[in-house]
Amino acid sequence: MEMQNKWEFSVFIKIIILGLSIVGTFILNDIEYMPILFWGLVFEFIVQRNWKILKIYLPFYIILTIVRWLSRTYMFPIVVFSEFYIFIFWWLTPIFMAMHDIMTTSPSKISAFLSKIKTPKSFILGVLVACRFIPTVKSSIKGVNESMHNRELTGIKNIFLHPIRSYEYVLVPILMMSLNSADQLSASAVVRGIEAPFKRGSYYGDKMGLKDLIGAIVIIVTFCYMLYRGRVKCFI
Amino acid sequence: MKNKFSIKDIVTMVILSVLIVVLQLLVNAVSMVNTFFSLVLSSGIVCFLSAPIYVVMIKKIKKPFVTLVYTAILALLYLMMGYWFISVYLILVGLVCEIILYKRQIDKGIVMAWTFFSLAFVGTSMLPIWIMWDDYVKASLKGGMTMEYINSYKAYYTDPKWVIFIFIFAAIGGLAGSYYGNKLTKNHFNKAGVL
Repeated sequence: MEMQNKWEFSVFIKIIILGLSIVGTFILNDIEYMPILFWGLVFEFIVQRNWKILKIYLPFYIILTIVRWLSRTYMFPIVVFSEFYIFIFWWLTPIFMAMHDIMTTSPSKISAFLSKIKTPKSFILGVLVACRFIPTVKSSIKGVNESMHNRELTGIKNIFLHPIRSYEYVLVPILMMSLNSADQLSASAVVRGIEAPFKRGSYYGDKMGLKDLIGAIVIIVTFCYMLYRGRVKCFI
Repeated sequence: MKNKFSIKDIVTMVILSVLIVVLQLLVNAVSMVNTFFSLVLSSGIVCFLSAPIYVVMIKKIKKPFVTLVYTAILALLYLMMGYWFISVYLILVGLVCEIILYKRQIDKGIVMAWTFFSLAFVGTSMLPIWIMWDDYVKASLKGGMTMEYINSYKAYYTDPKWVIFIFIFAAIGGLAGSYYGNKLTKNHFNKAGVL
């Protein structure tokens, strides 16, 4: 059984955080006030003790801010990356953080939440498969690459001389593996009672508590303060 | 009911859609390194590379609304990344693909639907620029950049010749990819009895 972080917000609060981040990002008139949302989210992750996300996004955001400032102030040309992408990443970082939080939530917690709000079973199954399949694909691609490398089929020379054939050597085994995984996963799901007419539960509790109240208050206050300072965009 | 998705169909659809989405995100991420590659070539290349997976998905499930589910998964991902306008656009594209596939011979329908999808897929690179451009310009001008420098980025999307080239390249990528996908399924998957 995986270790449970007792400070982690419930799925419902995480969805509210993502929703408000998306809405706030797109209705804010003066985007120079976007850092308010970013720092609000940093506080949310400190409350959740989610150091993993903070370790990724905090340096990322600070580097983007510095590069953006340098390129705007000194017309410093960014050789490898377009300035527009730097802007987009800087602008959307709060959304990426909120999305990362949901994507790394335990699939069983997500499925229990979806079941609670009476989501169709096919959708829950889709979410579960999507969450669990990506790590499988990663390891199979590695396996295929290793066996192709042993046969010298995916060497640099081969890729440049026969790009389509090299792609086929990698794609066909991955597709075969995916179809086999689909058969096995569906059989396993049926055997475990996916078609049973009962509500799904979870071993992991997802009850709302004080931490969730703090999470909701922080995101709402951050959202309102950001819009108060940066004004709402006029769409008409 | 014959057209209702079984558990196996749902799992297959999600797995193959995720595979296409991962491939598309990977190529898009790599292409960001170069503006020309990202704005002009990436859509066509992505559609060529992901076409065989789409062909296998349609041929394996053989039911309507598979393309719509795939575009919905892609739309959901874009929505979670904040691009809500691309999500709405992709759902509409998925609906048109379903109309194209409706009651058509499977190989021909797949080629037509995927070619249309590839043509429309260019929109996923163009829409963010059209919709987010004003905010970018406002912020850049405020920071001291000149309008000439800012506009140089979207030159490919304002010159009609480049726009036509981008659409034609994407359509050719999709068309060639779906033909290649059909050939691949006959050579490998039909022979192995998987489809």
